[in-house]
Amino acid sequence: MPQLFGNKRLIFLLVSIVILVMLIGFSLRSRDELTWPEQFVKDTAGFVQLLFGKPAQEIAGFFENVNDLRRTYKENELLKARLEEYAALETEVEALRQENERLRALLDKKESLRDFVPIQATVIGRNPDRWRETIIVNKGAQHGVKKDMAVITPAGLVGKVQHASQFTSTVQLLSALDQNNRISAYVQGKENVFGLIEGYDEKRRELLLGEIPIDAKVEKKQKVLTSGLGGVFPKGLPIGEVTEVKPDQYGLTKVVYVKPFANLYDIDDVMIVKRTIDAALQEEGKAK
Amino acid sequence: MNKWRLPFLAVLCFVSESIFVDVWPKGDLYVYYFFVPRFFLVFLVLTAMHFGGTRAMGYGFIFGFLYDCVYTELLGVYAFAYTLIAYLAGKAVKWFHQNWFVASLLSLSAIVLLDSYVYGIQLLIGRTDWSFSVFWERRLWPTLLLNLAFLLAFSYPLERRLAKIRRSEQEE
Repeated sequence: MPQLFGNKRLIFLLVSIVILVMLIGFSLRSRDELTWPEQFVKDTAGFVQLLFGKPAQEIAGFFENVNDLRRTYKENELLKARLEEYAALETEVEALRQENERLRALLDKKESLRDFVPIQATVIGRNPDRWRETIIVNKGAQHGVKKDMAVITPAGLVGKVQHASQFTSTVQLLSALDQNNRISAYVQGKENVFGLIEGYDEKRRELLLGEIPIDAKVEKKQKVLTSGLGGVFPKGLPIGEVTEVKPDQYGLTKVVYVKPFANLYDIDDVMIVKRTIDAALQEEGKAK
Repeated sequence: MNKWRLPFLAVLCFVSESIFVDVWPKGDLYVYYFFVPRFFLVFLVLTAMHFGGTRAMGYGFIFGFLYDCVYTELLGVYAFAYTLIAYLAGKAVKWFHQNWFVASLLSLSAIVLLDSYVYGIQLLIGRTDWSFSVFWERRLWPTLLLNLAFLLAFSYPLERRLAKIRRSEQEE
């Protein structure tokens, strides 16, 4: 049997392992920005992916449409029923919006934490090895995307921007949330209860909302929204619905299980949310 | 023109992994089992077989590094693994006859090697707390199944293609 590695090659292998460990260490540091070669590689790869991915998505989309057609009748009935409800709701929302504007004008308060500009983006790739659930979208720093911005679908929050390169950016999905990336949120009720989205329970497929005071009143079916405190998330993006409330392991705070509104896996088009108040504050800062 | 055929095939295999995961229906099956496409690895093993280990190592390094940069953002992991696997595959094909069956078997073992290695790294840096049995049940087994299906469907045409490229290169 011939020798697998010669002497020189063995040394080369060992040196490579040392470099590997160093590189992993380098990439594990919490980085605010990717280095420019990484950004360049990412953008180029994103372009190639778009080139190949678009036709593939079209074909897959066609089969999905055929599938949808079979369910159309049932869905249509359901939607008709909801439509009347919607009309009533819309008039109410319009009235409330006008009132809100009027009151704001009275207070001379123009920007709110709620206002945001959506940046439309399309998913052009996914991490195939899925150790960390991320998607790549086709909008980057050139379009105004910044690290830590919220990413939503019409149903609700799905993730946050992990890194933005010039023309593409990587989105970390809520299902891959770790301790370092908590999201400030609140439970909507008579008295809002604030907490932090701390992680994802894979078995139940639900988010964990922690740091809630033990005497706070949280009930099932209540809605959970982003609070807009800290970071660059706007206020009031829908996250999910409370399914269970439990005391945490030390009995000092409560843990709330939240079922996300959005499907955290099946994502095609997303909106990256840019808070308007930040731009306004920046301009004010410049003016001064 | 001939020079660009092999790189083009490599890019195709590389990109198809991401596209495959993107268009795969996202049902319960997707959430529980991790079907990881390793099409590029199959390409790498076949390249090592037809063009020798050295050339395959080059491809392994470049595309491994691309994988790290673009997808995992954990530099070095795939660049190292792909290069090493290309080297080992280059060695291994010298001991066996070159045929379709050996290529498939080598590819599958390469996949087991790669996935176990990546699992080890993830465990080491604390990104996963899976035990080996969970890893085996939810990740390795489905991955092997998926890639076996890929091998059955595409390894023969892929190999024909590579043989053709090699012949046309030799003629020049």
